[in-house]
Amino acid sequence: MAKDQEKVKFAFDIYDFDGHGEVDMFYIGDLLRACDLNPSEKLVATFGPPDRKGQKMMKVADFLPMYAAVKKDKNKGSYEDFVEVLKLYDKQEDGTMMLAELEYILSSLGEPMEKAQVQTALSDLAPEEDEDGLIPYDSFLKKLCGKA
Amino acid sequence: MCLGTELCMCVSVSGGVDFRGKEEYPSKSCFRFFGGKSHFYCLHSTVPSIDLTLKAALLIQRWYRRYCARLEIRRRYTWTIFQTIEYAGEQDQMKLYNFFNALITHMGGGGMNDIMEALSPRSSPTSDGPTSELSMKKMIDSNILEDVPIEANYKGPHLKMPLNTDQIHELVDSFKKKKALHVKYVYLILREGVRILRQRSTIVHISTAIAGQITVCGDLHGKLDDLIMILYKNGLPSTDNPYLFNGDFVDRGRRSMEVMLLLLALLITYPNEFYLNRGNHEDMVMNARYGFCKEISRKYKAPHGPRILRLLEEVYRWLPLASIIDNRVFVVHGGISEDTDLKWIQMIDRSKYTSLLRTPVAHLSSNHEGKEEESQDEEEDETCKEVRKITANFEWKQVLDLLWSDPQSNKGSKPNHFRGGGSYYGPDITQNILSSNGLSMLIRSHECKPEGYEWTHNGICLTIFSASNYYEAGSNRGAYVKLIGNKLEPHFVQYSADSRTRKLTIRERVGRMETSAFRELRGQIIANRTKLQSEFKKHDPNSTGYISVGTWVAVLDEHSHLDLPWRSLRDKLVEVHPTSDLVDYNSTFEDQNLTNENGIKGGPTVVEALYRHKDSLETIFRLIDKDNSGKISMEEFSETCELLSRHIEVPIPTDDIGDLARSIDINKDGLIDFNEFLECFRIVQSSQHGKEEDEEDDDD
Repeated sequence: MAKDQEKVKFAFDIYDFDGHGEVDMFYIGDLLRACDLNPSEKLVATFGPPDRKGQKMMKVADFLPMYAAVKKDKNKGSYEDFVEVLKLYDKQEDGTMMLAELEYILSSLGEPMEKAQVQTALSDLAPEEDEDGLIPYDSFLKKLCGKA
Repeated sequence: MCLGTELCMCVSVSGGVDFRGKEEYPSKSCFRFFGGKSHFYCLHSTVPSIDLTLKAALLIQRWYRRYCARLEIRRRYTWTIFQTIEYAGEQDQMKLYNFFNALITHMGGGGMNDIMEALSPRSSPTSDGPTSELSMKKMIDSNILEDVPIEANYKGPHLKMPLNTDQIHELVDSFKKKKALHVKYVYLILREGVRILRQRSTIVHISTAIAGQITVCGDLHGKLDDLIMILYKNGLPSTDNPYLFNGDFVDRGRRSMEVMLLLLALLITYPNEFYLNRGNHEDMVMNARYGFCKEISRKYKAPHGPRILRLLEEVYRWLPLASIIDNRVFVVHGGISEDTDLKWIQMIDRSKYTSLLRTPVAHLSSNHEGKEEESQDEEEDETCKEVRKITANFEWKQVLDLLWSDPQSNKGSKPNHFRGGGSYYGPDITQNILSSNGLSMLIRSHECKPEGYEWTHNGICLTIFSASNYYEAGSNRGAYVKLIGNKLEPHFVQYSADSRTRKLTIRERVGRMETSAFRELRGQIIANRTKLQSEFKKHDPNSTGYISVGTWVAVLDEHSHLDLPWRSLRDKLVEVHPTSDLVDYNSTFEDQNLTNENGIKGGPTVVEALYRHKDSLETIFRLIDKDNSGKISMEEFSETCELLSRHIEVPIPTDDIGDLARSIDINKDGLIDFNEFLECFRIVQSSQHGKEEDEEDDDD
């Protein structure tokens, strides 16, 4: 718990740009994720982040309950969940999937990411596709879930 | 042909829209699925539920967002480390100069006459004979300097007035090929530059009536690649394409000379479309510390080095302090303060501020004829003197504020302790100063920003910074802003001039930055090793080698002189015991040591003090080094060390240092090469006998 608190304090201090003990609510999603959580955009939206900077500020005391709520969320998704889900795309049952499908998933389904973000994600995390366009998703997942 | 059911996600071979009418399915994958097989088959022969697919998407996206946020945090604290160390250096510089000024004001020498002479305002940092206005006039207005023969093997450009576009292209090309410009043409450019700048007002009024737009650029800091990138992307200046460069052209980067020459050449070629503001680094005292003097001494040997420095001083003191575009946009290097009075500033004789780090008393009593200021009216009474002093101080503060200030988010204005000079100004200050002068926006530079620019103060203050990769490869983009049309609407162009970094992934970039930042941080820690270690030991009476995290943090907070989140950075700096809350404090120094191969007696404290204040030492050396040769005499050397020891209040045993210096004076000519001397202070890995990478030498 103490380690958690430290992590939260550190992240909070970094986003507290002016040193007043307040963070712009605009960054609530980034802040939660910097504390090692991975809420969905939907969950983040329940905290009512503004759509622009400089509109609403929050103190540590306001942030901690949000952190606790997200931490409790059982629906985190583990490495095993991932593997199960990506196996669907593993046509050849050999631990590979189409890079293009991954791209499609990220940019069109769920809480879609912008094209530019998807490109960055893939160039950062996904290994090179082979001549059939396949990548071993295992290494992709490891990087994704590993220590950033 | 697809066998599909209504839940199938197949699309036609040629690509097209999926069954929901949404995103075009990448036809590439269709082709691959379909190609090479003798019959077509459905993408999903088993039909997974939509739910599971969505679950997959959400999962990956959530984790990816988390991954990004964690990279972002790393990037941010790495940035803080770089910036903190940078500003601590500037603060040091200010402190050093305050120390000099105090000495000069209060004691007038006291046995260190040579140095006091060198540092006093009456002399310039370099001189090549009597520093009189007359001889400077001669240097500028005649072409006596250019009487330099050109060697047969000189392959660079030959410049001739009037400069034109072709010659500019030649110049840029030769700079790209790393050819040094012949000193004859350096003199030409500097001289002509001064002549143009002299005619400009202190606050220059620019109109975009003809061009309909203007491009404003920020700090370049000797990064020629960025300047060339800007010219490449945005074109050369012309009636339709005016430019304003907002200061800090030199220092830190390795091609300050080329940047300065190119900017002045552009000024000379397109005088009606090219504008320059002075930055806080257009100051010889800053150049002595931050690398420009060093660069010049390397590129141009005597007698040219000192002459070039002298001419540069002229350039600096004649640079306008600010510009106003269309009576709407105020552009200045640093910023403002609550005292900023534009009308007064417009009337200042800016040319008396050769260096901004010298106090006004100094400026009061200096005039360029080098005569003693005792020719003051005998009748001038104390009140008059006081008033003059107060006025002079106030004027100086105004100028300092323009070039050194930073915006803050709090209201109000206060001294800028971070940098040691100028002020912090809040949104209300900006609003007031702008309104009372009928202006609508402030554009300034002075601070590095990750995206090359940043809006503050609710959109009325813009920071623009044009040196990409400033702290480290990949640390930040550079940017310039184009103000377009009647409304001077800002349009930003961002870039990175380092092609290597573009190929790096974000993770790699952050990684590099982090490595670099921590290396610098360790350097700072090693420089304070003795003190830190003794403090640690105080808290470890039983010599276990361990102390609590809290204690470790407290010691660093107090003795490192760096305001950083030590607690959170500890995992990267020291060995933390996995279960208990204890820290192996010796691991803070990671087996690194300052070299003391030549055995300076006085031990590590002295070595560390010298290392910590290496930059100040170097600054003093360069200021004393009148002929810019990189060498000073033994007496000057001893005096410097004595002066420094007074400043930092650490006794530096001059005899021992003298021994060291003599040992460096290999050819026994009584002169010490201070570059070599400074090289003695390096961080060495004691276990590996490796060396810390020094900055690579310029390859020109």
